Amino acid sequence: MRKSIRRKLLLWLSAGLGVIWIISALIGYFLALKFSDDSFDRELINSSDSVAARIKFKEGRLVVDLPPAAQAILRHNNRDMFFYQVLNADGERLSGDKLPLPDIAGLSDVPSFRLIRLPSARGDKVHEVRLAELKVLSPENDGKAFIIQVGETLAARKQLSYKILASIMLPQFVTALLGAYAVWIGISRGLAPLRTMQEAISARSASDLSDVDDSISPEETYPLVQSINELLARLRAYIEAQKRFIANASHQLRTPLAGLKTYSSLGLGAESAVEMKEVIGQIDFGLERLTRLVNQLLSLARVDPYGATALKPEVFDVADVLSEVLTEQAALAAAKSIDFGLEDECVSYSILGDRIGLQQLFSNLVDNALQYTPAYGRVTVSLKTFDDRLFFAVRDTGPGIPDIEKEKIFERFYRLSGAGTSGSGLGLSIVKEVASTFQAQVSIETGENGIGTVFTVSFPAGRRD
Amino acid sequence: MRFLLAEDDDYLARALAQGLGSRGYAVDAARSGKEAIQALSDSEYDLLILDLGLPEVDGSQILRLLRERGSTLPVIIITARDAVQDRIAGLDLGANDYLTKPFDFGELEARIRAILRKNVWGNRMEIHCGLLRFVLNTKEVFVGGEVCEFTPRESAVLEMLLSRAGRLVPKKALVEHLASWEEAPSDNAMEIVIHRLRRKLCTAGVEISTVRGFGYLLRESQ
Ligand SMILES: Nc1ncnc2c1ncn2[C@@H]1O[C@H](COP(=O)(O)OP(=O)(O)O)[C@@H](O)[C@H]1O
Repeated sequence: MRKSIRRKLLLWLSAGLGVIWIISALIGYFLALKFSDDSFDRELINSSDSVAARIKFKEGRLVVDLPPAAQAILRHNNRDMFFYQVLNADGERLSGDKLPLPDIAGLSDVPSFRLIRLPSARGDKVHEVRLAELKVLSPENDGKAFIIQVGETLAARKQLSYKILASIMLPQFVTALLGAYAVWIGISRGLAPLRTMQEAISARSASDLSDVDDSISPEETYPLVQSINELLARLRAYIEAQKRFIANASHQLRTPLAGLKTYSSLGLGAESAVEMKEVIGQIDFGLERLTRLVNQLLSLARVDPYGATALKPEVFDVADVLSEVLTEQAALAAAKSIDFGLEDECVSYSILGDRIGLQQLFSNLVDNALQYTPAYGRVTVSLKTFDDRLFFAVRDTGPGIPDIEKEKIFERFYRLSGAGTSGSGLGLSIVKEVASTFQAQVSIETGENGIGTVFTVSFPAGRRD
Repeated sequence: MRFLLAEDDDYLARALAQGLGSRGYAVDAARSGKEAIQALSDSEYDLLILDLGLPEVDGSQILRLLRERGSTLPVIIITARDAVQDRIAGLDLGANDYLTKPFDFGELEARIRAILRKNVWGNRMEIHCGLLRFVLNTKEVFVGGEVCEFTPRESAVLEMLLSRAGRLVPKKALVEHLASWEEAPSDNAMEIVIHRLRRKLCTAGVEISTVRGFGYLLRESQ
């Protein structure tokens, strides 16, 4: 089960309330018991006084004149049994029931109390009896003393104590219950804004990513709502970017497709083999271009930080990858009679990261340089370490890039006007994304004497082997 | 018929120019909004095929400009934007038709024909003149039930003359309407076309008369 603030609070509260309830009930009970015991004991003293008043001298002998009717009066209630015993100062029994002898020496005219256990007349039960004992001087004033013992069983006392206990515990229990209920309601009320927010959120359509209304949030959950809103804002920005990308991508795919469709219907209407061949040549060209575009889109999807592919970093040699790329691009350089060269320190550098990504970074930069540099130009690639960083640079003698465009050309699909037909505007955004996976920085400068462009990528901690 | 094709994608522009050219339309291509505006103010066109996503000046801006100037030039929008709102916005700006890329070339042709039929031929499907019957959709020409073969250029000239049958068509207008930027037919070439048309149509009960130094006129022969 999920953790519940309400249940947890209630649990702690009930435990606390329970302990308080029991302790206060015990204290109240014992106090009340003491008072009630005192009043019962006073009754016992009264009874002992009555017994003392019945002690008379008859014919020189001491007698206790306590007929059964009088005994019945001495009992304060009819649930308890009443006992008494009168002894002389030597402890001889003069009258009454047989009760255990008191400690005669310790007695005074102030009654003392004790609890005894008394077997019943038939011997099958044992009664608990509260006994009051005192020493009384003889009515004749002859200096003799008597000992009077009166006792009663505890039924009435016990019953009273139960009543007291119940009358203390019950109201307190009800109070505790009411307290818990109040807390329960209080928490529900307190959490109600959360429920309102939750309902508002679940009632939303899947595409509604607007901020959660934080005006009703209690102070305690406000930071949570704030972070949710920040997350939503980031999500909105990302989805916006994706939407723009998809709109652009669809535009970029649809246009060459429209060209291809046009050529294919021209092909269907072609009347001669020559005409047909020309159209197929055009279709081939269009497909080539579309293929490149799709590949660029896939490369971009590959390095998209939110993309589906998890990049597998590996340790590899940067120089190896570069030589693969140069080998691939050499044909284009030759076709345009471009003076194409490599400057490096002839060592290998290992780096950790996405190998395919780096290959695309290199090939996009080199390809751009070769594409945009006119025939008989010069393109130089270099790989160097400096200050614990690895620098890859491509220098060309092409048309250059105006300063105001130097940021923008990294945007997806952004192309300079007059850049020709073959590109997609994705190359440099791939370069940027790949660079960020290597924590590398890309910079553009204008070439020597204001001619051409230099693209530099600076990788951290390029390690020489 | 002379069209302006405003499309920044070189490949598609070439494909369309070639396709429409082979159907006998003269096509000028503009690669940017600016070029398109320039071309529209320089020459007379019968139709504008307009991509919305043009660099420099957006296609919808061009259309707005055109309509603000009171131009009645028919416009077909071709675009990759396929949302219904885009369509509505495009048509409301004054486009006559809206095609989403990638479209079928046959469909583009059919829509062009429909627009021209309405604008130039008042929604007729066929033109009759003497014994000659010109079917607009297929550009086929029948003379007394027999098909008559023409080259695209001959057919284009005939179409233009038929569209204004009985009225004088200035040679300049004829040349301009048939020309695309690459291959402007000379006056001489035009005379050759007219000559061939006269020969092929000798039994059709129509005659093409010349007003020397000025133009041509096609009408039923008396
Ligand atoms: N070496 C370069 N010299 C001049 N212009 C360049 C160079 N590299 C890139 N550009 C410009 O930057 C734009 C974006 O480049 P990129 O993202 O690689 O797309 P693509 O090359 O496919 O058009 C290009 O259209 C081009 O105008």
